[in-house]
Amino acid sequence: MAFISLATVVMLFAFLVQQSLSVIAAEKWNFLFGLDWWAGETYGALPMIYGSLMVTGLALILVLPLALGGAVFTSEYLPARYRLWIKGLMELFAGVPGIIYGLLGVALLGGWVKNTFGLIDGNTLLTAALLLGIMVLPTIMTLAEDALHAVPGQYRDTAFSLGLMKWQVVLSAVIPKALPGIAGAVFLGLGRAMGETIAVMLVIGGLDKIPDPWFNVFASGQSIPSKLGREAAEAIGTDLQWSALMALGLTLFLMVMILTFMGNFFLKRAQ
Amino acid sequence: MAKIKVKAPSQSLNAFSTSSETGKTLPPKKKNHLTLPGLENPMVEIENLDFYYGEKQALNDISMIIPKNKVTAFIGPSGCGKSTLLRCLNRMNDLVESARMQGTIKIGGVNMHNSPEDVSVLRKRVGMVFQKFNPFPKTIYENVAYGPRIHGLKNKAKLDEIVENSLKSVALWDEVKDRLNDSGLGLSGGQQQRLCIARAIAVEPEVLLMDEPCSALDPLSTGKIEELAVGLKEKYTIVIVTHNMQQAARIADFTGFMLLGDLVEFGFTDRMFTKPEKKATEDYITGRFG
Ligand SMILES: Nc1ncnc2c1ncn2[C@@H]1O[C@H](COP(=O)(O)OP(=O)(O)OP(=O)(O)O)[C@@H](O)[C@H]1O
Ligand SMILES: [Mg+2]
Repeated sequence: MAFISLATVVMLFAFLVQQSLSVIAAEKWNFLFGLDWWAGETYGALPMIYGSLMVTGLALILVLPLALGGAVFTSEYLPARYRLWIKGLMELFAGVPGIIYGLLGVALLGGWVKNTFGLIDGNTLLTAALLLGIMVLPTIMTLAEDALHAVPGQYRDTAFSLGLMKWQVVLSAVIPKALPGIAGAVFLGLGRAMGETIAVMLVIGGLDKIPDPWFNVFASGQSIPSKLGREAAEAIGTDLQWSALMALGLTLFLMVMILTFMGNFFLKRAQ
Repeated sequence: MAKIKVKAPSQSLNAFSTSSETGKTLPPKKKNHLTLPGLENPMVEIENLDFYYGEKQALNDISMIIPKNKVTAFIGPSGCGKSTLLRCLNRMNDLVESARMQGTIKIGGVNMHNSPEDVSVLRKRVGMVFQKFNPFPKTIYENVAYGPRIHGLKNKAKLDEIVENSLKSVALWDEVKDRLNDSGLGLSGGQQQRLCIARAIAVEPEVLLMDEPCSALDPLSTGKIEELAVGLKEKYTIVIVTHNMQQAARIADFTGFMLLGDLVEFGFTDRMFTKPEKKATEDYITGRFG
């Protein structure tokens, strides 16, 4: 089983590399660091790489306090009989298809961002980050809760026996012990967020450009998956443009792999 | 013939609810403190302690005095309530959702109260060492400094001093003084358990509770912990739960024998092991059951 999945990944990887060769030959490093992408002329992927990193990073910053707070509350403060309800609810939310979130994002979030920040266009990097945050909240929260819940009772008992108050026990004994598991939860959530396509595509604005200044999250942008989603159909049959999209896919693949690998590394260490 | 009251749980529960609702129907409970020489300096006074896990009564009307600066052992067959009684003394049972306690426990003459702050203060006065040695995944130094630091001590020199003194008290200082920044989990089992004792005494308790502290250790490490317990009683009142009667005989000044939630007999260790008053005690210590 493990062998089959490993073989599949290796084959997929090899296929992506092979398909990327012609654009790499044509663009060299300009593919990774070029700022312009004009189909038929030049293929610089940096705006999309930037967009993916920015949107996922921002989503994480926005959602982490809520996800961790929710996890700590569920694991440490909520009476045990409600815990499974919360867990079930989180799983339900995590299973909602991305397109549904995307439609809600278009219907509600875009307008909200536009009005709140007085923008002309509500389709921005921030909108995409907010939507992604909402989408990965249940995943991160439930995995982080698992990590907290798995901390052996003896750590709590010991800390209590030294005269600590509940919040001190949680902060100084439970959370540190659960930290590898929490880190794993965050990385796996990030991996999921980075690969999300349709919802992001609907609200990010679709502009292949790094905003000026670079941290202006009220600008429109483009992530790797949203670029792929937009251009794949039109690129079929072309040589260089198709190859460029494949190279973009390879980049995303590697980025998500790193996150997943980190996530699993921390989850392993947590056990 | 031993007079052991074994109440049916449902019956005692009814009695309990009647007494709490009307306060009259139940005959007043009698104190049955044991008056022994050496008990005139009480550290812990337990009066008419009843304890329930949900519907199930785990301790039946226990009254006893645990003297200061002595080692007191609780012995008895598995499930008789030794750990439960021990955990009443620092209110660890509060953490069990279904737990309910009735009666009074005084530590150093002061009644236990219920607010979280009071329970926290109480636990600083009554430290605990657990059956399974469980250092935190931190350095040796951080394990010992953990309690004082969280209770607000920031002065590095003072912390260093507490760490050194605590480790010396458990005869671990010489073994670890050159590697205080190594993980506590890298020590041997016996050393880890002594580290846990050091961690407990670093917050300067008056009473030290030990729940089968040697059951996971080899004989050599067990001997060291026993030696420690005897040495530590100069500064602390030690209460130890043990399955091992020889251990109680070796280190305890006083021993209580428990059976099915009752404190059957409590008194001088020597006397209990040579001339037990109750038949049940005799049966247990001569190995006829348990
Ligand atoms: N958290 C709990 N919830 C419900 N019942 C419990 C709980 N802890 C202990 N009990 C029950 O209370 C009784 C006394 O348990 P306790 O652990 O105090 O016994 P013990 O004398 O320490 O036994 P051992 O020698 O096996 O450690 C037992 O019948 C046990 O099953
Ligand atoms: Mg026990």
